[in-house]
Amino acid sequence: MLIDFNSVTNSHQNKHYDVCICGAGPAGITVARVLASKGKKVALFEGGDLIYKEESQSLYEGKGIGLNDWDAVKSCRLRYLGGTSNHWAGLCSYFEEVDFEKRPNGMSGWPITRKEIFEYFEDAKNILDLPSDAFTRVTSWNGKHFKIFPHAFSPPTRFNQKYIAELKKSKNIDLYINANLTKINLDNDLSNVKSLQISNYNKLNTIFTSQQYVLSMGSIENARMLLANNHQVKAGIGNHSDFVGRCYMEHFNVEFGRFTVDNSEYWKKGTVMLSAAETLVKKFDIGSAVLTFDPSTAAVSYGKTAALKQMLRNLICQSNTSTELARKLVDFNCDGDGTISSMIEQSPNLDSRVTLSQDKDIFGIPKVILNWQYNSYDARTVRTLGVEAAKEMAKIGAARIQLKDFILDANLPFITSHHCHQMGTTRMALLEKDGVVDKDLKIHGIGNMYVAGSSVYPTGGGCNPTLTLTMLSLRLGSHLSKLI
Amino acid sequence: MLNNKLKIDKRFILKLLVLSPAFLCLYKNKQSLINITDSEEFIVIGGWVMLKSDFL
Repeated sequence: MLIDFNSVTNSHQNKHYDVCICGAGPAGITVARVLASKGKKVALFEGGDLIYKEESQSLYEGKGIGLNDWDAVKSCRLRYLGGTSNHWAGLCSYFEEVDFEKRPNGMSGWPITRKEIFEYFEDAKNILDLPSDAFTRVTSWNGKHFKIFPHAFSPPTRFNQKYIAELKKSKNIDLYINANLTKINLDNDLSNVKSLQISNYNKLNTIFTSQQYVLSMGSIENARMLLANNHQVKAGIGNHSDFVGRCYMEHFNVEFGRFTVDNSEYWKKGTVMLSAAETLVKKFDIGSAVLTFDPSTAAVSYGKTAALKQMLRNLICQSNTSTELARKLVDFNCDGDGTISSMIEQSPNLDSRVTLSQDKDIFGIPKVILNWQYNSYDARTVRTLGVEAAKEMAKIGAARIQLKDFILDANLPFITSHHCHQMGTTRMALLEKDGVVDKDLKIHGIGNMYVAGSSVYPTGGGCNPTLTLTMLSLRLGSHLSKLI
Repeated sequence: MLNNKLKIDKRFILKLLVLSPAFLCLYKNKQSLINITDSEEFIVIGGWVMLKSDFL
């Protein structure tokens, strides 16, 4: 059933469910559907509407003080039914065994195995509308340290469009839109959640209770809500070990340089996506990654004088000498220059974190400050990947790579953008001292509150996060259904 | 006297302008080599990573 919470006028009614889920993006909707299929009564709260509205989106306002300015971050997230799936590109992949293992880097390793997650692989593929033979087509790559990146494309699945009819018809799910989580109340001994306060945009508050509670609002919001609910526990809920908000991770998007094709046999199908093989990751103790080689880029000029600039560019590109001269002076591309982009794992870093600002939103909840940082391990990962990829291409005769200065010179800071893959902040850990949630995604020390989504990732791997978070959400739904 | 000194300075500056990019280039390549020549199989020229055997 669909309920527009803005139309609610009686703020004194109390509602009880089996499970309350805050956040109706891919994670929240998936958990809700699993529970409903097992006959459990679910309240699914979406802070936004069925469509994009500035009133809701503006609640994501914050400040970026690290590698990202806030404008780059805020365009990543969408605050309405379906969440970020509403503009998701659809590229899917999965974590390899090595991504779950503990590596020499101090905070790596998952407390669950790949097998425990992959139990839900086929169901997740169906949810994301992946072809039945996705990931089964094997293409070989004649290299030692890199292999073809296993990936598949979702149409992409828009959770809003795909599931709205089902959610409206559901007898077990009450989907509340314009319903914002504004307070989490713990019981007297602070060991269980007692109730949630949900507010509409008219600032009318209603109390909801349930046996179990799930936060599925994305990496930044999950941390924000746990930190902001400090009226009973000063450090915030689940922040016993000062981990809430810490280890915020993204995937680095580094442009390594350019390349020229040596042997066209390797580039018959155009773009090649290579992932770092386990041998490379372990040999150098670096993060996982995917490098995308596009052999046929078209150099484009911009601005009012674009036509003139393009003509000059074409003229320069016709002479090797003038091209080399231009490249010495500026970062100069010609038509046909291959480009290399990447998606690189960031190591868990305590200083890369979400904290609360003094500024507050319309509900009086502190806004966030996002401080995205990289460390020396990450810099080594980036440089090693660039150098080893260039060596491998030269060795097998596929291409010649010209690396950018910051790859070759460790004294220069590396230049990166991001992928809108926000992870970490409520990391999963076996022990309370090492994270926020346990291996069942229950907050350590709180008996009945769980977290869904990529905020629980202890490490981010070298792949897109959506398929894994869908599998984890299916697993959480199954776990909760057995408790009630 | 003053004019002569100025002429020398001009020539010196001109030389510096011509030669410094070349030195910079050499310096950069030296930096690159430090990072990459662990196996003595590869060479870096102007950022391009190549096999040494290509030049033999």
